[in-house]
Amino acid sequence: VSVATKITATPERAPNRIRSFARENSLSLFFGVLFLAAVFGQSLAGHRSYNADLLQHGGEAVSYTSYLVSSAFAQAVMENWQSEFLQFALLIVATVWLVQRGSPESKKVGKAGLETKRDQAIGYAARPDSPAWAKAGGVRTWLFSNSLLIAMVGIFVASWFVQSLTGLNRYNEETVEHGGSTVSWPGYVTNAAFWEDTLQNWQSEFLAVGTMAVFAIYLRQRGSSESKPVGTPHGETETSG
Amino acid sequence: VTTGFSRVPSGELLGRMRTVFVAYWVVILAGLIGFLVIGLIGLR
Repeated sequence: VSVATKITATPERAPNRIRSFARENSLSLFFGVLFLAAVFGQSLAGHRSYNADLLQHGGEAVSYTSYLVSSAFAQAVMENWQSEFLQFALLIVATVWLVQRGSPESKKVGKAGLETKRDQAIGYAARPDSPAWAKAGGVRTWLFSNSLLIAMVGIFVASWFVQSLTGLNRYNEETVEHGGSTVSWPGYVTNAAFWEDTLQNWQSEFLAVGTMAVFAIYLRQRGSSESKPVGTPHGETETSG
Repeated sequence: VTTGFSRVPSGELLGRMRTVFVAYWVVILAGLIGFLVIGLIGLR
């Protein structure tokens, strides 16, 4: 019986379990809490701003809960979600085929492409502890091999669609308020207002991703997995601290 | 089986990571479905 097995037999006490859960998942917990705090802050500020706009146009202020279920709040949230998920979906797929020498976001220059089964430990080359669908072969392995991209593209498409619906409602509310005529969904998604809302988010994401890939060639953050180790030469690719 | 860096059994570690994975999916799907319903109701 190994030492490890003996230790396993002793159950962890509750406070230790909570502490180790927080330590092992600190990155996701940190961003999860930041997200919830930011979306709450957005809802408070959005409610005030929405009511100020209503009052200015001779309307009546709405309650906080009414604002939470309004198309105005939904569109503001979805507009940003779609661009973030598009950003990561593009980064995931682009880094299969495209490279940036010296960037820790990139593979080595000669490794562009899907790589071999051996490189990816799938099918016959799977490890004994590889996930079941990496070993299974066929459709299951294909699906699992692309599951991260499928998930991110799915969330991008869904949030962009919801942005278009809620944006349409908001657009029509404002148009009616100003005495104009409403538009249909096809009319809205080919309208300049929809594309302005969409592209203003996309441009910032693309610039930020490109900047990250390029800056990380020459700049460092000691200890960050997004950076190369400080002493790594600028020309070296595919290493992270 | 235990992992090399922890005294916690690997099955339990996987369970903890799965909790975070599921929590993120729940938040995202709740947001997408909730706002979709708001959008559809607003169309009427």
